[in-house]
Amino acid sequence: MPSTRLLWALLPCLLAAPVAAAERYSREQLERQLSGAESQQARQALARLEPAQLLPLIQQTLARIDRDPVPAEALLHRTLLRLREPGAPHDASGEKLLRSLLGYQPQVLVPPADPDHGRGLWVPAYDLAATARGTLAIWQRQDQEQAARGALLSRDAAALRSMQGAVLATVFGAASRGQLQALASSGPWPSAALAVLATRLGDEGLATTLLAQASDAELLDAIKPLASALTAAEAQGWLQQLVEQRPALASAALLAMGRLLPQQSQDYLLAQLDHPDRGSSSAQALAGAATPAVRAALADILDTAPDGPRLRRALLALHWMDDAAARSSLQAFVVAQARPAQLRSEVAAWLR
Amino acid sequence: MAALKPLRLALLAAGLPLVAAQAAELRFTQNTSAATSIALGYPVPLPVDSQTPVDGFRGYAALEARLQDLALGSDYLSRQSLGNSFRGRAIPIYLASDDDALTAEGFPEPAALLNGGIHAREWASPEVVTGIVERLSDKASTPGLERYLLENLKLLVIPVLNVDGFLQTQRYPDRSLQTEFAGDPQNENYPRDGRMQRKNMRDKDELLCAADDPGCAVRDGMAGVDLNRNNTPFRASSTQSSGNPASLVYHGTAAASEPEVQALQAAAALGPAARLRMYIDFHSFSRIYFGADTGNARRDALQRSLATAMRAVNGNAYGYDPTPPGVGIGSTDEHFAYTHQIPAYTLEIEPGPNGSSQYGGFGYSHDGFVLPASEIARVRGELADATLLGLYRQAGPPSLRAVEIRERDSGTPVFEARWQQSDAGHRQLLVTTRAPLRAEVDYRLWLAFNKPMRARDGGGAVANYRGQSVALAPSIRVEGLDRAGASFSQTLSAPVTGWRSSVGAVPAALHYGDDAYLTEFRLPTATPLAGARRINLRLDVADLSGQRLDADPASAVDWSGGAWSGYQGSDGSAGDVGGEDRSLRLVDDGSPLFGAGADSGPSGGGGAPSLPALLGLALAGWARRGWGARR
Repeated sequence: MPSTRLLWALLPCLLAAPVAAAERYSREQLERQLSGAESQQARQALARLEPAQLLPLIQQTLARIDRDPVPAEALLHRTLLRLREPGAPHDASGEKLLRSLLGYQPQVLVPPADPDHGRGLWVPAYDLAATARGTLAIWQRQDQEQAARGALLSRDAAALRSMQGAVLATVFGAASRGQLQALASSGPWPSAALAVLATRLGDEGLATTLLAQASDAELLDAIKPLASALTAAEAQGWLQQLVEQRPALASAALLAMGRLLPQQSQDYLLAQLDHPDRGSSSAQALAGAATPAVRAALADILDTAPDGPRLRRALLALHWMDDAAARSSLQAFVVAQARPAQLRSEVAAWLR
Repeated sequence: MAALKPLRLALLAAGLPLVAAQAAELRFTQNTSAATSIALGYPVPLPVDSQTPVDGFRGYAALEARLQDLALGSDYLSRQSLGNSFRGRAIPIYLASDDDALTAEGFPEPAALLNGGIHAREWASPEVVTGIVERLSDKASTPGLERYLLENLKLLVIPVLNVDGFLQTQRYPDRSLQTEFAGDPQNENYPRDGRMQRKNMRDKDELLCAADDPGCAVRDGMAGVDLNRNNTPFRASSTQSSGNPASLVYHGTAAASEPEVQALQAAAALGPAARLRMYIDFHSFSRIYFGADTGNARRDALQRSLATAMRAVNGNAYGYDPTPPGVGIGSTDEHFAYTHQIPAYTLEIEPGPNGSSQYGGFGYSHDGFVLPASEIARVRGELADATLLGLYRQAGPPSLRAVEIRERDSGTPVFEARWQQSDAGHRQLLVTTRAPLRAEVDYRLWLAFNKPMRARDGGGAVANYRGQSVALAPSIRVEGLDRAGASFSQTLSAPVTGWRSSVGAVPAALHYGDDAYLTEFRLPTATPLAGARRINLRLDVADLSGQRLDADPASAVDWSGGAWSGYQGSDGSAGDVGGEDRSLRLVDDGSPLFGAGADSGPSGGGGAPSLPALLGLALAGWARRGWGARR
């Protein structure tokens, strides 16, 4: 295997230089060290290595890293990234080797990546500990997903239920509809997995279960895909429950409702305009709709509502529509002497 | 694309490479790693459609809608446009303040400017500055620190200066270009465009074009001007900026050439500029306050002490690093430090220098720009706390505003005095009651200050503001010169519980919680009150950021030439640290407060009275002098 031989041949050249006097390098110095022909050849050789050769390469490099840490750390970094690719071997000895890197003390420091952050700060050129941790995590995840796929194929719901929600979410995301339907009633499922099940199946019952059990953060991730997966009427009902039961997510739910816009949503959103916490999001949702019915309802509020949250949010809804018809409605409000003067002045400023 | 032609021609004429010779599209993922996929180790944040704050980063439309709604429903928040971005989008600014341009006492109001989103990819920045506005808005109706700021400071907040760039990052929240570019020695081969867009959108379109993308007409991923290199006085004077339009730190064709930088300067004018006292430009990442020392020793020291107070709020997790005088990179903090002589910072929000590996990230070199969504709620809160303390400090040092002493049991007043504004820069002392003070009588002493002086913990007890370590109890003494001219001093009991949280608890107080203090005292028989030539109060107390009292309230404190003006120390000299207030005289011998003829008073508490004083223990009648005035 020529590429391997070349790499082994180059390693002594890369690593045999005297130990660098300083551990700090400018980015330019680092690039210079790494742009040499030998480094480039090593990089190309690494790219051609078989996966099975990567772990021995790490051992070899670690053994000689003190001689010239710049190319050695660069090589380790690239090798650790290659080990993340599907098909790269990972066994117990490999995991042990990578764990030995979790406490690695970097020998090459550079100014931070962002040019604003370089005033007196030095960071590892290669965060090998974090990179090794990432590779280990990806290996673990690959193993878990493989186990989950196996359990899915064998319809072993009990085994699946013992697995992490995030792993199940990935596997469920790629499962067939038939497989998911078989699992739908085999819960309880972790929320991340349940969200995928509910979304993939467009199942209102699972969505309701999700609402009862998921954290705000989990529900936030689920709102958009799940609302799209349910029928408009189902989504409206589910989002309405979300508004009522999860105040922290009310805005996100109302904005999602604006994308549905059956008549029921419009009515609900219009009714929320004067709510102190929900009115503004309802206005933004209505602005996204801009149907003739919504425009008419908002125009009516502009004509008749007293100064207060409802009128203000109706004005905002038209302002956010940002089209000729909405501007025309706002212009009419500005010149309506009977309407609140301060608001007319504010709206006039918008129109300028 | 016509707008791009001049740039391309200019580059060719200059022999510079076109803006993206090589670029491959990158995709950020949580766990999937491949040649063009970067595994971050945590969910890749996507813009969230929510006006209210969530565990995530709000999309620009929702963020802006949220602020517009707060402004339309508030007496303390208004919105203006600073002009348009390069691509013609409005750049809004929010003014958090009452509308009278005066402090609650009637002096000209100071101003402060917070700038968010100058670098597009630093998503934590708009969230943090918006969080500050939300905090102020949420608490405007309660008489605490926030309302004090709204009524005594004009706060200018730009949520997103680089609107075009920010939208570009939100358009491609998990994609970027990996470039191979040799024209930028310090920053080559860095991810650009899409989620990693840093600069403004000058001379580029909104498409994300990899080099091998056949549908890509213009490969302009490297274009744009670094708005944090486009400012006086150090534009184009550093190796940390570049004249190459493709550089990550391209400084533009002239100072303030970019409409966004012009908008920032317009924002300063809303202060107006002469009233500015603080500027913060919010960036990420590195967890540090950068600043620029200008060589103005007082300003430089104040900038440091202000940073110290704000850093302490978060346990000194953030560092402080000022550049030495005379050098810079063209950043906005330098502009405000040199041009306006105010404390000015580039605040790099977390994570620390090692990026998101501190949250379990996988070590990708640029993951610090992608703060995990699960962290932003905490970061918003922490930096709102720190920034509000900084604003409170720059709103002005504390000053004694009024004093009242009454007999505890009968309520009979014996001393009532208050400082009242006399002109734009001064107060005069109005004394309405002076009656004899007697030994062995129980009195109530009220003190009122011009700002909230203490914070409260969750249980309502007086506490230090987060991270501060200020002596919670004031030091109060009655001191003077006895009949024979010998000095005496008696320390009064001053428990921490004396701070009043309820508004109006003390006559002549303003209307903020904990801007007033109440204690009771009884002077021992040995106190030489009878025939005393002078009796005054001696107060030593610091505000909740540790600033001591203005020792002479007659000259109102202001900001001038990079330092406080009218801020006297205990010896009457103007400076930046304040001192003890001895301005309130229950018996006034007419001697000056400071300088020749003034008595600095005993330094120890509870000093024994002199022998002549002991001879005159009989209580003397006080000369009722009616309205006294001192300026």
